[in-house]
Amino acid sequence: MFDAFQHPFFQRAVLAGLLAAVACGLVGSYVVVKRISSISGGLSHAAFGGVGLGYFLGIPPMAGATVFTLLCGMALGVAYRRMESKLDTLISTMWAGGMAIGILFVALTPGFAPDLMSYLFGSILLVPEHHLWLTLALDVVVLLVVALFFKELQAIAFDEEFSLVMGVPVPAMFQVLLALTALTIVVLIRVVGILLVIALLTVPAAIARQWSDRLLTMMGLATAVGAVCTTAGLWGSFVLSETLGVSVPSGPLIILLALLLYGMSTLLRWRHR
Amino acid sequence: MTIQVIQLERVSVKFGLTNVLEDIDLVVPRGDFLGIIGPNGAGKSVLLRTILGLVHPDAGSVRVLGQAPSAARGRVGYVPQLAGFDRSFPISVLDVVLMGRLSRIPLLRRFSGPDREAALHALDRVNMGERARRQVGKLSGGEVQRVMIARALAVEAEILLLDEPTASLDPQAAHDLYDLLEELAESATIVLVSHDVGVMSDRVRRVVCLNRRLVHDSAHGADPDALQRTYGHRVSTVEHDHPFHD
Repeated sequence: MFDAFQHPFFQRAVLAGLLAAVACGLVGSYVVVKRISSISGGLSHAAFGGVGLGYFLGIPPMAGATVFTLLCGMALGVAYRRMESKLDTLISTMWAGGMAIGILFVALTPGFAPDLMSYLFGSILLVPEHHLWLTLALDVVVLLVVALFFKELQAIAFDEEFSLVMGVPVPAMFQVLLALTALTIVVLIRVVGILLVIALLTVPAAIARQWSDRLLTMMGLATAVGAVCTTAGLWGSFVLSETLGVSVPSGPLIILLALLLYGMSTLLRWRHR
Repeated sequence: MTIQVIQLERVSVKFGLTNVLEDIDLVVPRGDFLGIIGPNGAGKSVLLRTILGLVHPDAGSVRVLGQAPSAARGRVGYVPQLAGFDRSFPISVLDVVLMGRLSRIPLLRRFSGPDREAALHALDRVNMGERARRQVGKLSGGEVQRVMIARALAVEAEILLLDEPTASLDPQAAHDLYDLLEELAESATIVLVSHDVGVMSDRVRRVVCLNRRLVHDSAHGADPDALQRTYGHRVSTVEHDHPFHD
């Protein structure tokens, strides 16, 4: 039953999931406590614009997605500060606009876009080795930034106005947070795909929040939940694929498992009151 | 030597087409303990937020410690009217109060022992020392208010601005807070905003009445005429002696 773990490609996929869970747990916790999940949802869909531009310009689609998502994140950060009342509309615009740009430029690219579907739905089982290094690098960056700016990031997530009064560079710290979010989204796209990224970013953190009374605990717990979900989801897809004789995608299994855990956690929390 | 720590000259603030503050001239000398009273919607909170640089005036000038408000950041302790945070945030009371030390610790540096001591001392002063390890969501409304006050005390600033600090406190806690403020007023400049005329005018050294404009500015407490002009009807106050005269 567990022979899946003996296959090198499966081991690599599990490792990719575990590495992604670290960035996901740390950044997802900020996304949840700072309540920027709608910004993050917009960003993850806007990423598709970068994928399409990458195909069109002949550069790796992931590189296109990284640059494009970062730029969109920075733009939303400015909008958050300057026109808060219109932010909601702007997020939807970016959400749909990114998808539209992506679809258009994929169509304009001569020939066939070979792994277009993998960007939309993820393809962690076929993850190339360089992606593992990329995810590891992102983890290092996220860990460093969180360690260096923990007190400021916690302060702006907790009480932006008081942080401002205390002289914290609030706009700059918020841009840093959005940059981390954008980079994490790009890495998570490989794991569950653009359409499901937002769930992987927020659901483990939301579960962790129910059982944490410190931000650091929440981050650790969210990472653990993310790791369990990606590993179990991958394993489930392997076993189901073998038994059913059809290819069962891992992305939806990972997300559905996370949602199931969220439901159970909420019920438990509610009973413990 | 008297130094003006807060100086507002002909300050006006508009929200859209509505005048929120009109033509405010206000000078707060070092060591003052000033109470600002006025009805709801008089612009009291906006006045404090203008001094903090959170609201930008449409006309006039604001100087705090001789600088623009944004340059004086970190040198002013502030207690907002409403706790501007999510009560379920996973954070301890001590970590909230430590945020009052943010202006002292540069980027990339951690809080150290003296910061923790200052935060714990601030909590002790509002009788919240035993709650330091609690998560903020497990506090009552009055306790949260006291944590907000402790956070402002932890700044150990020259200026302390408090926006309706007694609003959610029981009478005993409010009494204790005024005792504490009187003690702090020995070494700091305090500006306090309240719609509660009676208790406050008893404790502060000077009262101004605000209703979009400054109606009255005197060192002789709230005189009934000015109060009537501010509130539009007669307000009763308790007569008392003033320890502070120009």
